[in-house]
Amino acid sequence: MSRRKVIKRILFYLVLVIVCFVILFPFLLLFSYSLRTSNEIFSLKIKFIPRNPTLQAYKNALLTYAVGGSTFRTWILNSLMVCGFATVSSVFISSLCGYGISRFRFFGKKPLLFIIFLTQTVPWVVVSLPFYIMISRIGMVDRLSSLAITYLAILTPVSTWLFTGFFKNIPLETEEAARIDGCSHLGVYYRIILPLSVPGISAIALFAFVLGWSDYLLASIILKSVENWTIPLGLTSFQGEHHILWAEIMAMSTIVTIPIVVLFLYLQRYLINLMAGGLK
Amino acid sequence: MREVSYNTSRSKAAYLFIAPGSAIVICLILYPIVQTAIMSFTYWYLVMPKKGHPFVGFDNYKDFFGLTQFPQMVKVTLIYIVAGVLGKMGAGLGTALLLNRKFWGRAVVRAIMIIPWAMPTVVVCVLFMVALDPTYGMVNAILLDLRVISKPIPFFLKPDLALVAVIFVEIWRYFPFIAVMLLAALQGIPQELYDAASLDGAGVFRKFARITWPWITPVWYIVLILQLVWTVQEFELVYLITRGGPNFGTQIIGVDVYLNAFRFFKMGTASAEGMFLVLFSLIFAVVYFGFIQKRQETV
Amino acid sequence: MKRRKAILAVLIFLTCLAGTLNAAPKISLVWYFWWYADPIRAASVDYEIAEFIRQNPNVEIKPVTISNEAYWDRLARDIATNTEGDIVTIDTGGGVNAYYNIREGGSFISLDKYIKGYKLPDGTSLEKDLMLMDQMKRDGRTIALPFIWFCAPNIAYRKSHLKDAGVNPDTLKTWDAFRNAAEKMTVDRNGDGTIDRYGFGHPTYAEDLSRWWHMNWLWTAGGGIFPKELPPYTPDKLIFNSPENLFAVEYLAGMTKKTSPQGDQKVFTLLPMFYEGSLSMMAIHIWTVALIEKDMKPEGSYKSDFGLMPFPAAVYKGATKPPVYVFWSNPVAISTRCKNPDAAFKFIAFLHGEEVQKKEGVTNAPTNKRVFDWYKANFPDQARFVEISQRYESRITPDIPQWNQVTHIIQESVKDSLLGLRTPKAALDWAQAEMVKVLK
Repeated sequence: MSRRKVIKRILFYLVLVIVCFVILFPFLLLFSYSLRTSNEIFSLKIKFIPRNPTLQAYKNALLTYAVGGSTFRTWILNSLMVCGFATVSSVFISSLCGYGISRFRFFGKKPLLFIIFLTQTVPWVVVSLPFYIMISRIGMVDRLSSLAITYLAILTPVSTWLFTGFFKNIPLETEEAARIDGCSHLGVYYRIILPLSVPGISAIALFAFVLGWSDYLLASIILKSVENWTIPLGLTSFQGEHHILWAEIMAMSTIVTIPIVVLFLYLQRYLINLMAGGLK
Repeated sequence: MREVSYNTSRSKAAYLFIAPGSAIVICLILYPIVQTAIMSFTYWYLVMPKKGHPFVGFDNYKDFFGLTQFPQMVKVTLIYIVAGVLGKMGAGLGTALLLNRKFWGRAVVRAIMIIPWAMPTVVVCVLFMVALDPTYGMVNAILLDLRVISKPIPFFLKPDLALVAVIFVEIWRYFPFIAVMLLAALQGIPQELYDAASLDGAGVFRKFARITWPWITPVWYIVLILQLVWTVQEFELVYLITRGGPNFGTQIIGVDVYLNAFRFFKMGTASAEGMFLVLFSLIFAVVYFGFIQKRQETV
Repeated sequence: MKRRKAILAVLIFLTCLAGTLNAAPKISLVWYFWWYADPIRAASVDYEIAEFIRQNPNVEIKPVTISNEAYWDRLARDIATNTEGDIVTIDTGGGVNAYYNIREGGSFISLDKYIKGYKLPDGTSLEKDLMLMDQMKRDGRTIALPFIWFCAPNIAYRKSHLKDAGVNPDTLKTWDAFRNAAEKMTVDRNGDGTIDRYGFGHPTYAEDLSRWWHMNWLWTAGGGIFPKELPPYTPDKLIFNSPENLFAVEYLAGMTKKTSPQGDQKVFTLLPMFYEGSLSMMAIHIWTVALIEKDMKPEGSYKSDFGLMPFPAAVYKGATKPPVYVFWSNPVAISTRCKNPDAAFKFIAFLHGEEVQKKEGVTNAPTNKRVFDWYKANFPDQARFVEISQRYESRITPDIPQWNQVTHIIQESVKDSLLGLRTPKAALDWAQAEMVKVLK
């Protein structure tokens, strides 16, 4: 290898290491905090590597902590169900919608695009009250299904818009060739667009899942009973009026981060396998 | 890339595609938005209610503009938006470019990159609130141990430092979203284009400008405007770390909206603030999309 | 075939019959409160619900709980949209009128007709045996039962720390003596250049709780928000930037600069420091006693090292002003949209029975006077806390609908003064102007 290439390589890895460090450092702080007792976290001379590391916080959070029968198992299951539904349905519906917008001209296109944009500009803190009034009138309060549908409704405009961006890079010729061969619009969508957009789909699916996984505002508004709690609600319950289970929060947080990372690692591979037979 | 459209006689099929999405959005989201707009012009003080929520014209808006800390809030919000979005887009683009190359351990690094985004907001805030404290925070303790600083950095005591801290957290937390989107776009670029360019003797910068950039432009512009619009409304991240303090140093408008809506029960004023943010975003969008149109015409 | 159909029909009929015989209609009550995540109090709640259901099998009680901070957001919203629970816990220290006013005619039902002559199975008379009943009236009607009450502040201290600094706790009767002692006790014990023992801790962030972390200092000095926090609550009566308040805030700022951990401190960051031994004195309220007993380090040091003394008196312009305490309760009220007010009342009355009040005694003072002697015998430290507090005048924050905005202003102004971001005078003047705006 030439000298220039070697220097380039070294620089590349240097930047990489710095970036990784900046990303990881807070997470390592979190992990370090989770290996202590809650009161130790406020020691005056705290060290990065704990003097007496303990898994007590993990044991408490995972095995003993319960609020009226609701444990972390409940929260994770609820979150998985809600996020799973919201992700799958929103990806499906918004990719359809995005395809319609990016490939067709139709009456009402400009207003639709405007509405899509409008939904992103509105702060949910304020809209949540009329939204709550609306759903309480139709009896949708305190149900996980309502939360799942709400996430779907919120994700659809953004995902649609993002999909139009990804679809723009797919050349029209392939589609036109397929249509000449007698393929229907839906078939073009299914056989050509989807397989070619796997990176985009996995990115948007990840976005949808993360939104549901970490949302606190809407979950706290729609859900009430403790058996319906999702993960963010469960985590906030660690904050009592005058005591906070700091170590347990930190411990739970390290655990709930893992599913997302795993999802990201395998989602793309899974989708590629799913669509393996799609390309002509 | 060209704007494509089929023969208008085929436009009926379009409705099938957009029907489910539009139905959901219009039924569940549009109605509350319209209600919020109406609320911003009516009397909505929960704890001293008036029958029928009478129309009050622009009173709620006047209340908002008349806040003593209004100029400070606008200033802080603007700084937050500009610094935050620049940081996020830059970091996102850089990371995406970095991770698009093949190298040993790439899958691991890609997984690590997700972590700031995957952590629930409440956790990120609790972590930074504890870790950055001057008395018992670990960040200061480590820096003191390594003798990088001689006195703890009073992050939450000085308004400027607090603002820097929350902007850093904002960038750290949300740049993976941008990186993931851009990476997905980058992954679609056929390698042949780069190989051909290399044969023509193109360097790194020219490859970026001629191949990479035009390819990711559609996604870039969408993500950019989304980031701008989302950062404008940001509240949870800042509120849970600093609660808008110290001395209104981090009181972005989003935080004030929350305080008015949920703390002070002044839903009318909060709605007015929300509509103000919407208007700001809309005006900005007009300028933004006009700018993009012009660029696309010259390409 | 006919025989089979006949048998099937009979079976179905019998099942339905059995079903209707067993299924007495269940009354479902939803109880709104916020402390379920605290394991000590959760045990009390579990007992209360289980025991009531045992005695009244046709009722089921569903607890709805969330963190304290989010509780008030949710309560206001739910009352405004008619979706709150049947039984609602409120807080006389955080303002009741705000929530009572949301619904026209009052959000909670009048309990007068239920209370009259009501006697619990254990003999408790609701009219005669409960304290704080006078605080439960709105519009001349009793709208809640007091359930449990709290008092603050007394000063918790570590006896060994005072001994090390040669300070006698009985001499800490005035603010000046208190500050001198705190400064003496703020030391660098291992000589590495940083303080490792702080003399006194005061939370700079106390938004939801300004009523007993900041207000007592202001009241003791002779100040407050309104004179003696009594109506009329009009803008012209505000005394927030009075010289007495200024005196109090300047004192606090001066003391905390020298004796407290720097930075934005909250109660739940100071308490761990007290447990670990890096903090010598701090003001607490009655609930904290149980927490300290549980978590004070080293293990078992609570018995020998935990000390309690009264809040010191202020000396302002030569006059000694005795401390002013705050008493508040977490009453339970019944929503006007409750469909089964009789059953709901039975439950909230049950909560005032001797057994329940004893169970709640670990963290809260009981409102049922009949258990006071038992309380003294079984929770001596808590009882002592109450006994000290009852020697002095008590006050409560003004119950105005704009309370949340006022407490936010108090919070910001006091915090800025304590952190040195604004001079106390500037902060209090700003606060006064803002409060005038809010009350207009």
